[in-house]
Amino acid sequence: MDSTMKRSSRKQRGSILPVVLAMSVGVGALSAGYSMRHLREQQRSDAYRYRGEALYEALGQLELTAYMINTSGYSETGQNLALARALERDDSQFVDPDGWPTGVTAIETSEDSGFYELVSESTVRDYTRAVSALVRERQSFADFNYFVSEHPLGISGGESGVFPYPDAPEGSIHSNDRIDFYFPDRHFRDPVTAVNGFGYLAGANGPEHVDGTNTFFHGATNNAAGRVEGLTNVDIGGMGGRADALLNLDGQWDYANVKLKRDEMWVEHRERSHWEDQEVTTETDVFVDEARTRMVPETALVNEPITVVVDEWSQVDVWVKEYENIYETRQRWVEDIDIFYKTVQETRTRTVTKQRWIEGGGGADTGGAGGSGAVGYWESYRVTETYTVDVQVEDYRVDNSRWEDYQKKVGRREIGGHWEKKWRVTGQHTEFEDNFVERATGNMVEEAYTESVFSHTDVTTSIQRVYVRDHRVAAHDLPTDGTVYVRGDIRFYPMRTSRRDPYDTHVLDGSVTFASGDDILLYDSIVYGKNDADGNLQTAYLNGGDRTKDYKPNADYEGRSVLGLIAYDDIEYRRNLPDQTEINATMMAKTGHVRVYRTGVRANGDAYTRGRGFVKMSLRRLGGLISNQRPISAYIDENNAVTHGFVFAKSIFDRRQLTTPPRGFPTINRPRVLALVLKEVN
Amino acid sequence: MLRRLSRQAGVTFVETLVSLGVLAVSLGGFAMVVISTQSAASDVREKDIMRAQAYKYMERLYALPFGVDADPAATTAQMAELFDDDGIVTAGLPITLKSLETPVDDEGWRFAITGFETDGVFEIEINSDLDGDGTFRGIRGTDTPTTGGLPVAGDGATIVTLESENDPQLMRVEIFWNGESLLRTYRAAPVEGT
Repeated sequence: MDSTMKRSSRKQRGSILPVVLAMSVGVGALSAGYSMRHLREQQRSDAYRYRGEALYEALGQLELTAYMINTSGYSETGQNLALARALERDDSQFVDPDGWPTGVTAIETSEDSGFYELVSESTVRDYTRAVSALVRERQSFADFNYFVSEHPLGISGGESGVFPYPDAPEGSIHSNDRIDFYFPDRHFRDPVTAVNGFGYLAGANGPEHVDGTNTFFHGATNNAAGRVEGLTNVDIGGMGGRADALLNLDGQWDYANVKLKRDEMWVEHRERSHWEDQEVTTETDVFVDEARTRMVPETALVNEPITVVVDEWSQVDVWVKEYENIYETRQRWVEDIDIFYKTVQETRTRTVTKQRWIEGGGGADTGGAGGSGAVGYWESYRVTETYTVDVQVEDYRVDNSRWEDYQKKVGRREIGGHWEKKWRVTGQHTEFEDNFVERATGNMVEEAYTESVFSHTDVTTSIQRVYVRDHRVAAHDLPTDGTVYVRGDIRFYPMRTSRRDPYDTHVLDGSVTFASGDDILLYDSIVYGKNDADGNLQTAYLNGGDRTKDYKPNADYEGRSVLGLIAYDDIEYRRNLPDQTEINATMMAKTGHVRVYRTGVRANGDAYTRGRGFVKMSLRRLGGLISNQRPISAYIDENNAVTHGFVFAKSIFDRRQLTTPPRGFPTINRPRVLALVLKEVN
Repeated sequence: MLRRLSRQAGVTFVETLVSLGVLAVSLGGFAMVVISTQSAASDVREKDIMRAQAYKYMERLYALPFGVDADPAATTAQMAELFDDDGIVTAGLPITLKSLETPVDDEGWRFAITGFETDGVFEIEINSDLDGDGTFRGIRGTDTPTTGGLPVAGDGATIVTLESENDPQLMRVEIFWNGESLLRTYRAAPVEGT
């Protein structure tokens, strides 16, 4: 039988596989995503890991290379041997003592600059990190905060024990003799070295002390270091031949006065008084005598008597009176007391002024009667104390006083007289006196005479010893960008404000070195300064003239001034300096020392004075001090009083001079590794 | 008249089984990927954390002054303070790198830290065995050293006593975590006046 029911014509298809496949693809994509994410995490982690490893590997190799350079010797021409050998290689790379390349290369920053960049690269997997450091092949003497060649140096450190030890002395400290450290619990940040050992005074202890050390060094130290030579070899005269020499005064009598006026300076070239042989040209007029005659009026002597008045004297009788004195008897009281004494002890009180030592921070140039070398100041304070004394007091007395008669003159009376003969003027009369005068007779007569007549001029040349007084030779206005050499003294003139010259202190905006074949004398403060955009003078450091405030860098100072002072003999602080003096300069005394007027140092390093000096309240210095003999900024006598120099002192090392030392400052066979820079190569 | 066999709708049993199998495999694979990536990510994170700690420790060690041979050895109290969260050491005398020196070919300073997800032990070695192989011997390279003395190159093959090792002025500083080296560097003593 046929079915009449119709079935749906829609044909149904069924298969889950496409769906499953689609889901599988989705799951696969998710899995891939997870895997990629993990891969990225892994890559990031690898980058973190390998960059870190590369960085510390590069740092480590740079450290080892710096050690090679620091311990290397120098050639006769002053080249660091390790640097020289690396530069000889084509790749300029350092090779360690075991013959393996370090990955550190040397690049000279500019020709003959003496500065090199050490670049240390390390690659771990595909990640490279580089570290570089700036190296100066030869250290300048300006790197020293204190350098004393022939005497012990006394110094006290900073009190802060926390890095970076902000009040510790900065810059290297070295003595070719001994260094004495003062006061306990002091810190030193930078290298401290001495040839003849370290001493510990005024509470400071060294490592050998039974209680252990209380003097802490955070840089390299060596109490048996090698001598640092070179100071006495400084060729001061050669400064005049430098390419940047602005003035070369090499005459035997030359000296100079200097005024610093920001970006220019006035240098007065003078010669001091002296005897000298001079060629003298003399012109002498020569005259000859000629016999001549002339007609003159004839004269004769004629008597013309004159009248005079004459006194007449004779003896006459004169009555002379006679007197006698009149006396009266009177009485007077005569005191006559004998006092007898005995000795007793009496207790008294008195208030006296004493002095106690207050440390002034980071300084080391004090001389004293006790031979101490600390910087700081003595503070007065009053204290009341009792004492006993033997006193003479009255025991008893015997009174012998009485009334006594005496004769007193009360007048005189006339008692008679007598006649005496005496000379008296009794009259006058006139007389005639001869008076011969020369009168003309009216006739003319011939007279012979001799007249000097000019003949010719003789020119003679001779050598004569001539005294030349102190005088100005010339005045120079120069830029503050070079060196000045003077064979004699260089005097930094006392500055006085005037309408024409508004400077009341030396101000330097530039880079200058002054070299003297004798002494450098400081009569006024010297500061680094530069005008800001508003025309106001900004000094490098603030409060140099006010010791009650912190001596600190000025954030508004944008200059880069550097002043070097090199003296063959001494650099001297003079009486005219302000009561609160500031000196911004690095000073070097080749054979003498940096000292206060009228002080000196004996062969054993003890300070002494020569006559009356001056006392000022404060000295603040920015810059190093290099001295052959012991420097003196204050002399303290047996009563702990400052008799010469500065009561308070503060010195700060100018760290800019590590990379920019003063022009012409001598260098020594020591390298210095400076700034460290990290960079990522890839 | 023959009837065409109609296509039948629906899923066959076989298709279902296959589909389920494919799903099982893909989902299973996905699960494994997730589990393994999670585990690996955890390892990576753990190492990153420990490496970050190692960098921190290395910075502290780098900040220490080098010191001298006579410096007394650091105490465990000082070590605990040096490697704690702030790294400030107040106990005893100031420490230096030399006071932390460890014996060659022996274990260094070992310590564990708490408060982290993972457990483990840090070890720090500080000594003059620069390559860390436990000896002062090795192969010298064939380049001429650029030192300041009279430098002589090696032959690149023979094991000899190394010039740069066993020098008290040069130290290797290496940090390990669970026996694996994380970080290594070198320190050299400052030279007077430089």
